Amino acid sequence: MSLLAEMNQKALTLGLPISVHLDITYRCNERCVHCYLDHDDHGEMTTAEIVDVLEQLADAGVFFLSLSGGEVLMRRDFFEIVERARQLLFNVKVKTNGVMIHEKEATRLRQLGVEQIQISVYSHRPQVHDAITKLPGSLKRTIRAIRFLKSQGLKVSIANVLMAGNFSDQSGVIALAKELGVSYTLDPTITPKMDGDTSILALRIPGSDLKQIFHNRELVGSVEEFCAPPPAPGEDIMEGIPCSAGHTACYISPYGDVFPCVQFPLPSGNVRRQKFLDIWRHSPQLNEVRSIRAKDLPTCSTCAHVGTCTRCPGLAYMEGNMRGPSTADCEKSFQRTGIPSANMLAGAQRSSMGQLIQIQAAG
Amino acid sequence: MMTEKYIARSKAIAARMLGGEMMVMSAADSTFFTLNEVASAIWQAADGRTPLSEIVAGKICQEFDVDPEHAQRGAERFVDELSQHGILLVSDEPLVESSPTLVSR
Repeated sequence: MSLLAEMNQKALTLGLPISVHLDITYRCNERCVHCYLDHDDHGEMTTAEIVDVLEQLADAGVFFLSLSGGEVLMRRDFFEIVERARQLLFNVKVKTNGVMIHEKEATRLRQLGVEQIQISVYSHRPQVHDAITKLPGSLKRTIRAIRFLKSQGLKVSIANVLMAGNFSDQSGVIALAKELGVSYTLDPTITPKMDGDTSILALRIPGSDLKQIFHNRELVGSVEEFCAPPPAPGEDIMEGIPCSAGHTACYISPYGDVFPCVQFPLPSGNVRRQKFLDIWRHSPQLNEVRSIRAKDLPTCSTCAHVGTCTRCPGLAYMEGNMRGPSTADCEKSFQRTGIPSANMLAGAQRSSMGQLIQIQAAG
Repeated sequence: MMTEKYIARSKAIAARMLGGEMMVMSAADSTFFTLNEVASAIWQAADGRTPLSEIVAGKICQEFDVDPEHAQRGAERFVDELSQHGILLVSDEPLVESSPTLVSR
């Protein structure tokens, strides 16, 4: 077991939040077509409030801190926040579109000892990237930022959200990442908007494209291993937890709301009204999330993929039941292995039952 | 006469106490360390102003009941290893500007 895995296991055993994702603003200078956020400012935490939260997080044992948004540099106090975070010795990762990063900002990030900068790039072609961000010239500015950051010796990672509109440019983004000397991660997950609007889910790539990704040796390594049929689940799998959300990690919004994860919008408390540790330890919502084991999932516990699925409890929650399946992950498991999930099989059965009832009604 | 060593915590690190052990990560090369109680005590005392020999004699030997010679050798090995990863700065003169203030948590 690596030291990092040991650290995570220890945090899990001790019930400590080792990792926190803090969005410091939802404001943004881009208007990405797939974005789930409301970019208006409804009363963000002040600098003093955020600094207080950071001190509470350090007290609570948080080691990994992701600062994200919105666009983090929309806050004038961004560097003040990073500076305090680094004084508190967090391992800081910053997620940004890079548009506002010039040499001065890149130098400051290096001086502050930020661990990694993750930058969203949707395509290597300006006409595709800029059409997604709706900010003309954004790709050029983002690439320039990456070069500034690299010249400072910072670790940069390109995050490539894949949608139907940019799927064919994926290899171009990989080549761009290689040319810039930065790492590359792809993410085919599109989530509903915060207000529940699911219209942006239409941007998701189709299953056939997912299959192509999962069978790309360059992306997954050994295809045989990655796409192997799932082994029969043992007791350890059935007693297992789905992910770190609420167990060793959580998310805090710019308004102080605490959730199990950025992708799991179950309101669990607010740091403006309660101490972070009180929320972490005593929130009924977080404790409910923590209580769930694979064996408690009505459909998924019967699924062949239960031990290997990337099932996201947050996506399941957004579909209406945190103990239910996440259909996007059912699709991923299916496209990876060719074996339908229990939920897909049940859906097919429900669908055929539905048709029978219709026929009866018509008769 | 042996040259004194002064040690200071680098600013380019992340660190947190977790279940009695100090977790330290170097931002320079992402090397990750867990420090046991003795190593944590040396690391926390690395203020850039106190000589290593004084840290060992005044803190380590007092708190952990180890013989001074053995403790000094162990401390020097530990300091060498962490300095190679940029986690500790070492000098034969005081390093007053270097150590980030440790928040007592």
